[in-house]
Amino acid sequence: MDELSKSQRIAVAGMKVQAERLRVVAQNLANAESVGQRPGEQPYRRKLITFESALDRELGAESVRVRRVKEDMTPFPKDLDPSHPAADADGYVMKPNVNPLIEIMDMQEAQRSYEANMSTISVAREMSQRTLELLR
Amino acid sequence: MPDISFPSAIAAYKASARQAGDIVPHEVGAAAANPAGDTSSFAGMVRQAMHTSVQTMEHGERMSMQGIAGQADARDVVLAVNSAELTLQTMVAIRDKVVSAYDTIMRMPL
Repeated sequence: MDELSKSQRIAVAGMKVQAERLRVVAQNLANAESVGQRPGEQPYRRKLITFESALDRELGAESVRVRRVKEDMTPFPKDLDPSHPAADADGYVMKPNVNPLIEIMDMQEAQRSYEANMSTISVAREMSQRTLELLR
Repeated sequence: MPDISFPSAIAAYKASARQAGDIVPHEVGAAAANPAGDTSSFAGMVRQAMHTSVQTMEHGERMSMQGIAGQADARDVVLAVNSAELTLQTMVAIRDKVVSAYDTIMRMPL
């Protein structure tokens, strides 16, 4: 396999992990208001995704993959809402530790990174096509 | 309307490569005993290149079908179709070169 095809394969791996990152962001944003049903029950806990480089033996190059999706262990913020079924003795409800602003920034980053990988693919593609044109 | 889809074009190329492989070793004589996959003869090399190209094209088609059915990752489909397209372009460019070389020889004044 030539180097340009390898570049495309690696870029595709990059796009895949960014897509997975966006999936986690979507999950966090969608669950930004998911709280417990009873007092003491925990609300949705924000998920964090981490990446790692992985040696692709077939390509002989460092590709990328998702290391793991872990939970964000920052404490849950509390809202005063005594009428809520999940309110504790003092009338406070635990809310998910999701900050929509941070999620939006993460989403932007995933988008930019995805686009960068797409550029790699189109540049590699153009390079190989231009090389072929030399034959004509 | 004649069938001009990718696989049939590839099959035609493959068939002509096979014919060329059948003809060339006979003319060479000593090379007639060469096994099919031998890369030392020109015909063998062409045949092997064709074989890999056909595999790439088939992979591209299979991935597009899976993509339409929603079973494959969109990025994998793009990659497979991309490389199939590039393979076809390479094949056509080389074929044109070979044909024009042959043409030049044929037009040589004797």
